Amino acid sequence: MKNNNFFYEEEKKELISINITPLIDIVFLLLVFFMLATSFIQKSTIEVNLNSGKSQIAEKKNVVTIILKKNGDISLNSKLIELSSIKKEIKNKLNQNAAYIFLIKCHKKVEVQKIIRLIEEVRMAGTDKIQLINF
Amino acid sequence: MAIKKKIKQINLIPLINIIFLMLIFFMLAGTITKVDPYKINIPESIIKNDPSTPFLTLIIKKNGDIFIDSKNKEKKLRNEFYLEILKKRKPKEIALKIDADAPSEYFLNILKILENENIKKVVIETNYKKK
Repeated sequence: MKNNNFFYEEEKKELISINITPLIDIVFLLLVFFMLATSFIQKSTIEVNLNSGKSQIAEKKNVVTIILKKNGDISLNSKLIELSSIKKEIKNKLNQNAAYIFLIKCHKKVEVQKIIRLIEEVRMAGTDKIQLINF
Repeated sequence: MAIKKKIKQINLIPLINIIFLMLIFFMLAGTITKVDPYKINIPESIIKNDPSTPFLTLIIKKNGDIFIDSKNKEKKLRNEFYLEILKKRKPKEIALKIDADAPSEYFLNILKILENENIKKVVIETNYKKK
């Protein structure tokens, strides 16, 4: 009698338990979707001023020329300079005259990435007066 | 028989716990991004600015091909056509999605065109990377 009761209780327990396999399937699907569709890359933007200081450049007044060569070399007023030290140099220039306009002359074949890094360094020095031209 | 069956069963609860944790992590930490059909390598920047939502986005590939992306309509454009579109729509703000390896001449040419079309604000889309 005891043994029979035991098996009866076990069967009862099995009937009560919820089948969680469909739940796992859906959760797996959601997980795969979020893993594929989400990205951890943070988007940012850089604003480009199209008309800043154009008239002054025409007059060649208060203009500091930065040359970006094809190989990535940067020169500030004909002096070769590292990208890491450009911020400091520009800050010095701005301390001399806050009205300076920075004319970036970049080689036609130089990559956009290098121009963007250079613009950022100039911006971080505290000026927004940047003009871009090709050579 | 019932005892034998019970022994064979694998306990799935810890697995579900971990999957739920992963699901919550991906839902909260990630952002769902639109798949870019153009496969361009967006430039990296070290300054964090808020991503813009301009009316019009111009996409410039490494080889100089220009695409226009507005309200999910994507079109490959020849040089003479995108000028017409700019003239018709007259957007005040434009976003540029340009390949990081594209030569600067394409970039500056398009800036010159946008300037001539009296567009006041141009933003370049970048991926933020901590220094």
